[in-house]
Amino acid sequence: MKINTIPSPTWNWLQMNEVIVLDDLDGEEQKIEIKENQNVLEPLRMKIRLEEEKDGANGFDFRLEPKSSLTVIMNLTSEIGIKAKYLNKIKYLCKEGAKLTLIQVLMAGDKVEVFHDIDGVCESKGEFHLIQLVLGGKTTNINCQNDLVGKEGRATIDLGYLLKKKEKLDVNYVVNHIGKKTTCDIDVNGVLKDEAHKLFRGTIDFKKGASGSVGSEMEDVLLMGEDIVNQSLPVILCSEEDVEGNHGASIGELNEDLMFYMKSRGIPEEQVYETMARARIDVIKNKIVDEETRKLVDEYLEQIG
Amino acid sequence: MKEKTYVDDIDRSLYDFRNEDKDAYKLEEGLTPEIVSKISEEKKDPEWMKEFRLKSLEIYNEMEIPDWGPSIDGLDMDHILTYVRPKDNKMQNKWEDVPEEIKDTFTKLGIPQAEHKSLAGVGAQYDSELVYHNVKDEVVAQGVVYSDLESAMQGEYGEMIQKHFMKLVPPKDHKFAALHGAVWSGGSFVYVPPKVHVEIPLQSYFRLNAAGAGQFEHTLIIVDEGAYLHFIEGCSAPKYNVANLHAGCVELYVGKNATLRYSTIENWSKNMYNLNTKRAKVEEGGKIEWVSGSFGSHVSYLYPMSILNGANARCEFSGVTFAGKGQNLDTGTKVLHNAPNTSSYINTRSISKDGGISTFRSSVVVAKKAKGSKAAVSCQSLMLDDISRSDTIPAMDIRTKDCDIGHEAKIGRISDETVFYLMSRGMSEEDARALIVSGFADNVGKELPLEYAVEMNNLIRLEMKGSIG
Repeated sequence: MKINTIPSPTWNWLQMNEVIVLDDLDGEEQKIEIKENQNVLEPLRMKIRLEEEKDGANGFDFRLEPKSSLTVIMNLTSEIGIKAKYLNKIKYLCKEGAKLTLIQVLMAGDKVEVFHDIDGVCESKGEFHLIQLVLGGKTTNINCQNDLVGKEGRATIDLGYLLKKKEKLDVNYVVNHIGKKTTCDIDVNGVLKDEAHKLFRGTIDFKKGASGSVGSEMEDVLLMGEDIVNQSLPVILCSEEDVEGNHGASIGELNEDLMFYMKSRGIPEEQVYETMARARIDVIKNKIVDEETRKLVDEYLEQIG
Repeated sequence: MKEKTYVDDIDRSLYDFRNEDKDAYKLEEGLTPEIVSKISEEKKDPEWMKEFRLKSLEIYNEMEIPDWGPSIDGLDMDHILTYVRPKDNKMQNKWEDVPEEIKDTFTKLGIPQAEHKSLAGVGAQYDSELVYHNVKDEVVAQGVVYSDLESAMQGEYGEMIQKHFMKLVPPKDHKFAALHGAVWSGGSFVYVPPKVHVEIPLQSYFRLNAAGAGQFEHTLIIVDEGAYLHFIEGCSAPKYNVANLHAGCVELYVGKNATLRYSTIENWSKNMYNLNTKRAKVEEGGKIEWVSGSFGSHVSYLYPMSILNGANARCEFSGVTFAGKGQNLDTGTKVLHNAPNTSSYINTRSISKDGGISTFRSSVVVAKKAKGSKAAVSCQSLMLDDISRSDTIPAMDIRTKDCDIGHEAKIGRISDETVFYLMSRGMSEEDARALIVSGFADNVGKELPLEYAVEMNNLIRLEMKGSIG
């Protein structure tokens, strides 16, 4: 089946319009409803550990009533060297003034295939914040569609990734600005080592009527491998006059001036790269307010070196 | 409450005159092997070219139309005239020998005047045939060849043309490249010998007069090692109620340490499907500079491509696209970094108004062997009202770590504060907005020779005429 289809395709020869995966997985869907004015202080933690040859699939439907809030933390790990597939589907609805923070940390082994599919709606002043850290996995596909239908709805997406060996990450973020004065911020920081392959698609779509809306997407990629493949497709679609849309990308090795400075301080080049790679992940990691998760990420990064 | 700006459509009277074509020789509508063979006979093609045309037609029939861009459903190839030869056609090198009606057309468009004032040579095509070609003696004395492609193919440059013709844009590239290969007619051939610097530009102007016709000119330019050339391409057509088609092809070969500047102000009428293909291959230390203004056409697919094939080759692309009522202009550029230390700089502006759709589409591909390469892309879009549309679709595909790639894009509208400031200095709102839009498009204007920059600003002013707060 085709997934991660970009709303506005480009030349087929670039092979960036969608990705084809072989099969779908069936899983149960859980409905989670947060009542009006209820602020759930303790994060909802989901720990998924994949086992050998056991494919997994599950789904969640989060419904946040007006002025409620919830943080969900999903940690995906696997046993060393196992081969498995995991599909996760999330639907969300943030009603007036509600806020959902979804943190997904992927620390799977290099034979694990993952597909995260997120689809949701923010009503008036509703807010969705997605923080994703991809730190492993043979193939990780991420699709996230957000409709900002209400006035002053907001979507914030932070993605950090560290890919090595032959790991592959395929991302498709879409934010549809439908209501007035809606806002989106997409911030992507990543590192590609060895033969890693990343395809990032980010679409900000200002629909007619979304006056006063602002959308921004930024991508910063540090390239460290001789055989890496970095593909980026940051798209802005606009049918409304009174909007501001920006995107920027910076892709390459470390800046020469920075490298010169660090080396002049006696830091070897290899260490400079490792430090700067770690810094990129930390930028996203530090947006996670939960200390336990941050510690887990630190431990995992130490472990994989 | 904010007041809306209403923008009138362009006053196209300067370009929108037409001549009767009842005496012109036309092949029947549509696309068959018989029609392609007849074109080949008309052109007195060498055998290889006849075979090439028929093979291209086969490819055309096998290929699908693009599924990613603006709709071209209004284009019915069964009703397009692929070959129209003007009455009494014979290519001339003096304007007084050109048939009166055609000469008047080009005079209205200012071509003979421009030739006199600021050009080293001019080619003028009317429908499917070149009607005028001339180049200044001093340029000929430098060894520069500037002629129509068909006669050059029959002469001493035949072998060179066979070696280069549709090698950069092969018929299999896309459906309309295949169409071009089958029915191409007219166009120019330029050869600039090593180390020759052509001080003043050459220009080709393409005028499509016949209703329901296609124009398929082929431009082949070879700038040899260390040479320099500025080539200007202009085009226009009167508006008809039936679709016209432009599927030209431009192939540019830029030699080692050579520079070619290729400037275009495209102003086809708004019933035109502009499915043009332009491509340059740049060798070591060479440079291609594209300056591209897209103002006309109903639908455009236009993405000049630069293949940076030698070490230290460079490319600069400056483009402006202005989409008004009934227009869907899908424009941009493609760059392939295919050698070490190559660099590209892309700077574009898109303007949409009165229901027009403008799309900036680009690709920057950095091959694994293109170590040390740099690319910078900047695209800005301006929305002049809330019934138009503007999209940016830039793709990057990077296959080496040893590179530096930057990209930025911005979309927005004219700032009320800037309009207010200019109005407080005594300008009308209409003039203030026109000035801001002209300034917005200055990335192209400043790269054009003065006369052409003035023409471009006139086009913008005409587009903006009628703006009211």
